[in-house]
Amino acid sequence: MYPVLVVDDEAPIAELISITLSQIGLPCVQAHSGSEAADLIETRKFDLILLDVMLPDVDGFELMDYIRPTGTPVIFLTARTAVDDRVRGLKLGAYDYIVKPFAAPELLARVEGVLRHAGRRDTLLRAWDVVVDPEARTAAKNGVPVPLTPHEFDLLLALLHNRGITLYRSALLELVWGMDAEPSNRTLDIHMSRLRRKLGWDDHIRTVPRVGYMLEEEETP
Amino acid sequence: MTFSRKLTLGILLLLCLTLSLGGGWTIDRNLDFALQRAQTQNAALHQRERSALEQALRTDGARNTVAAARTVLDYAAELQSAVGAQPFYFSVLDEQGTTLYSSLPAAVRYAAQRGAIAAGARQLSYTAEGSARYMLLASPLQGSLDGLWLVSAYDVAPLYAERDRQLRQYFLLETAALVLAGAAAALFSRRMTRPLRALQTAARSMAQGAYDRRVPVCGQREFDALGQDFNQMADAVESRMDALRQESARQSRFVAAFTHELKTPMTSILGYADLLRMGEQPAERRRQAADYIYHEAGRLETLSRSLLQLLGLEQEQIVLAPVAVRLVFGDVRRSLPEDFPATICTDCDPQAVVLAQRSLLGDLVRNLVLNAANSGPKDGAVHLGCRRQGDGWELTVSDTGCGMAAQELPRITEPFYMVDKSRARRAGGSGLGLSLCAEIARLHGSTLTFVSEPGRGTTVSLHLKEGRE
Repeated sequence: MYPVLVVDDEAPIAELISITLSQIGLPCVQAHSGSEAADLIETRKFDLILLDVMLPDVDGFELMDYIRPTGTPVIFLTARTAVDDRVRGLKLGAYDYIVKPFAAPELLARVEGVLRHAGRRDTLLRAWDVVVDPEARTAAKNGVPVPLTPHEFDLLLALLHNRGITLYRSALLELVWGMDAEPSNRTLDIHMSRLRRKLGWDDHIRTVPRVGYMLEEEETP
Repeated sequence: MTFSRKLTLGILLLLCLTLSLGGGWTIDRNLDFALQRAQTQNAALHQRERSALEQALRTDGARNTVAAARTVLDYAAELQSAVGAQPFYFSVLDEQGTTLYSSLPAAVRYAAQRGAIAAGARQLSYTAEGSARYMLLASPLQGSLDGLWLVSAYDVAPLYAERDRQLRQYFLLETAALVLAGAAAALFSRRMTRPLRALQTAARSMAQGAYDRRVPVCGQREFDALGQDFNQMADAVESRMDALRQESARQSRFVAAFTHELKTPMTSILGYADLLRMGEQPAERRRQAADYIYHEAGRLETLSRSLLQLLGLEQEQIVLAPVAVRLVFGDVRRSLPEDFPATICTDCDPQAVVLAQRSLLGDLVRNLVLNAANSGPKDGAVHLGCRRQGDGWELTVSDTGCGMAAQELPRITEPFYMVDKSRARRAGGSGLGLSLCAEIARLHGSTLTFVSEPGRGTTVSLHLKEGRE
């Protein structure tokens, strides 16, 4: 298991990506210029490289020459929407591309997809005795499948992606039911209690009154 | 039909007409001449026969037509029996047209004989039947009996046969001449129209987008003039196309750069805002996210302000007034932040007054000063200068910083063009500073001149008009 290399000359964006990926347990290393990235690629191993196209010194397309021999999968980050740029990136051997600005779930989905296809890691999410496969949308407790409705599964995924963080009710409602639906807080509470019961997580999913819910982090002994 | 084919056919037609008419006329003259000669000969023969016949009639003393006929018959028999005598075709007719005797071939009809008699002596006539042609001569026989006419026929078919032979021969000759001439004419007209074809090929390939095609010189004056005109037109089209291409490349660079400049801060703002609204982040991360959002939003604000100013300037008409350069430099110095990293060294002629718009000129100098300070000058200073140049003044902003490579210079005033992006970004640059400067210079009827050397520094100069009356 190697870290993910995030190459972007914009420090805030590199940081944002690192924060997002670390929530699903992917450690990140940041590089803020092409030459810095080239040095890292030559000296260290990575499971995945997220590469900004427009870099001040060596541009992303040129960096592909360093990356290709290592066989590391690459996802391009680009602010350009021109089809030519995207096609060029894919032709150079990138697995996928993400157009800025991007939303956290999109980034996570693409990163998980590439890691799985490249066979670099399993992308299963684990918490205590529960294993969740985001791609197959299945969950198992102690190897026994737990039947979950789509909304329950989405809730579980949101909790797993933000462990140790209290998720606001409004955010959860929007994430799981979408912007247009108007479910009540009551709906959310019912789904959450069913999820608790099915997974036996009465203690682990903590209710923060009038704020939201939080999935506790495991205490690493 | 192509022009060269028309030319060939025209030449051939003319030649064919001339040769045919000329040949036909000559051969016809030949026949006439041969007939005349035959006539002279035949007239003499006829004369002789007539005299001989008259003699015979007189000797026999024939008084009536029957006696005369017998005499003629005898004479003819005698004539036929004479060894080696040429066959002599003749007939004798009386006043009423009764044939007393005839050894004429069947081809000579009775009507023709009457016609010859009607034409009278000295007149000759011709008769033709199939391929047989005869010359008829008629004269009255003077002798014992009046009213008798001798009609003799002479074969002239060989003369016509000769004419036909000549015609055939001439036809062959003419055909050969036409074939040769046709080939020559075709060759000639192709050569003549070769420049036209070259022009056509060039025009076609230009139509297909090969704007660098030109017509070669061919050595014929009219075609060369046309070719030169064509080439000039092609030059004009090509340079116009180049200008359009460059303009369009400039525009697409602008759009790409603008998109990037817009989306980069947007990505951070949206991403961190999303992080904050999702859940209760740890305090340190909250602070950091808010910080990023604030600064990136500030960057967007700077971008929009600069862009609006740039767009505004492009449409603006400004009023120029006399301004002391010393005051402008003072404005710039005051506008710099407290922690400005470089010192400002001024070397300004106190007399310098220029025609300018004070605040805009201040913006221009300020932007140049910010760039200069940002280049990391080795002596830690930005040098402002103003000295007389011709009938105006030259303002200079120079530094001893990192400088720029020669190939960068043509593009540095393009919006969002950044020579060193990370350096510019740290200084909060939007990539529009020099575009603004260039626009302000343009409004002052001037242009920015850059002299730079990597590692040695940059000097920017601007010529302004004298402000004093």
